[in-house]
Amino acid sequence: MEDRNIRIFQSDIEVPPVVLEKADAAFAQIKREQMKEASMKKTEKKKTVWIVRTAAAAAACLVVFGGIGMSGWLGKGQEDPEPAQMAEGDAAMAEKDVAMAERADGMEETEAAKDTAAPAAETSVQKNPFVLTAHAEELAPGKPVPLNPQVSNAGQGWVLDGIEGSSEEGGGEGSVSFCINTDFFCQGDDIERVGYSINKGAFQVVQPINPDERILVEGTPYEGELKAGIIGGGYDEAAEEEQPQLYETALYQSFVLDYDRQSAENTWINVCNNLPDDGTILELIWAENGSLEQANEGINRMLEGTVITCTAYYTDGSTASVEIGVSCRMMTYAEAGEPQEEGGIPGDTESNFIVFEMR
Amino acid sequence: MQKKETKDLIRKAKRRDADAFSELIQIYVKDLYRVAVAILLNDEDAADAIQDTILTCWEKLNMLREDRYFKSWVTRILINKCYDIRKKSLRIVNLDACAEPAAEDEYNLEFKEALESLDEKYRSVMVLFYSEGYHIDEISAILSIPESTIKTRLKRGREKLARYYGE
Repeated sequence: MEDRNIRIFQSDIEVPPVVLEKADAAFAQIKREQMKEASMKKTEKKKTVWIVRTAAAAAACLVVFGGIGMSGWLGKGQEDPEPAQMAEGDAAMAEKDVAMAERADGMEETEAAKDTAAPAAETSVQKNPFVLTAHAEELAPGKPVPLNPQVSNAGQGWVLDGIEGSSEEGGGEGSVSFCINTDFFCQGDDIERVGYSINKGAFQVVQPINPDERILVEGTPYEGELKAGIIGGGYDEAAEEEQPQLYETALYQSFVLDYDRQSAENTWINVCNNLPDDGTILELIWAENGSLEQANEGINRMLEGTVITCTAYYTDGSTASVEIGVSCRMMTYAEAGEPQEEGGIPGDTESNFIVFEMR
Repeated sequence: MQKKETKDLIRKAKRRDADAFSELIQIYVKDLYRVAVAILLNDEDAADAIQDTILTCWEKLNMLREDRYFKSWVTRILINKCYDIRKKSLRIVNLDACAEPAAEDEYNLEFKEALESLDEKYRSVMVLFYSEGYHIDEISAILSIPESTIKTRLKRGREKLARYYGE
């Protein structure tokens, strides 16, 4: 290509005023919305939920975060609470909040605490609700986020495995396992770190061999062995030639990430478990001519009771947590939001989708 | 390689610092304009596309997994906005009118003339490669088309441009 022609594409250009004006209008809109949000947060502080540890009374406090609004107050001299929407499972939340109130020991009083005639008790103020997404979709109660049934090259999706028990006398029981890519992302103000824990199974972290490239800052290793499929790393077990070992796979009961570094291209965080099975689940999921409903039942038996807890650690030392359930739902590809490509799976095709849902 | 100042701005912008975000976009506004006008061929529509892109980027900034890909991420959003505007446009393009740019399109005439000599499928590839300096694989990811197609379009774009300038 002649130099002159290249020069035309590489020469400096002037950004026309109309472009600059419209860009400025966009920035002004962003600034206005931000000021509006800041103003709303100030108003919310007056209705802030308090978690107060008292010597005698039970802490019947409830926590505000995400889309769940609650109210609570304790002690004499505080403002009357504003009416608020009560979420389901108040008793369970109250129990958890007592635990949070216990953690209030040693925490500094906040400005909001100073604003009211608070009793002489240690306080921890819950503020700055955060948003949690899974695979870029916001999680919220009543809003399941489905994952594509296929494991893509990007390492997303989920994998199920099953091993039949030996039919020989004295043979071992079979097992079923799952591995589900999470891709969670926590977004909020004044958050320093984000932690995750799981009550059943483990987090499977596929990360670089080089420790300097890893994003986990803390982690409690999973004790024991857990065999499940692996998502991520691009390691091809079927490859004939030996491949360089670029990744390692580690299991964790819980781990913590820096807020500013919650993900990396060379790291995959999955949840997995391996469960003994007498053939019941195997039959439900993998029976020849089995139905979607049967497979759905089988997968849900595997996932039953699996809960992931995400905790935001704020710069002032406070924390906020949300719980995420994992289950399997039947829906069409269109309902699951899968892109409709020519030659691809039709949108009205029904399948089983693993879903994350905030509890 | 991304400059340290840019990385800092991205980090601050992710923490909802609107001023940092504004400063960040200003760094790339010229590049965004080139890409937008390559697709839309007029400054008014390019301005609309950039405005929409700024608002979407602010809203979705925390979905950006790797800060070092900020520019290509914004560019991808911009290109989609340009396509949306083009689909919605009800204007009938008068080829004679294209011979002389409209009053508001008095900027960067040589650049626009070069673009107008090409079909759209060549324009975006040529701008991304020669103006923005993206590699073939990056352009493939931004436009979601195979690398072989990118190479073909670059070759044909160069040939068409050479013919236009009588070479």
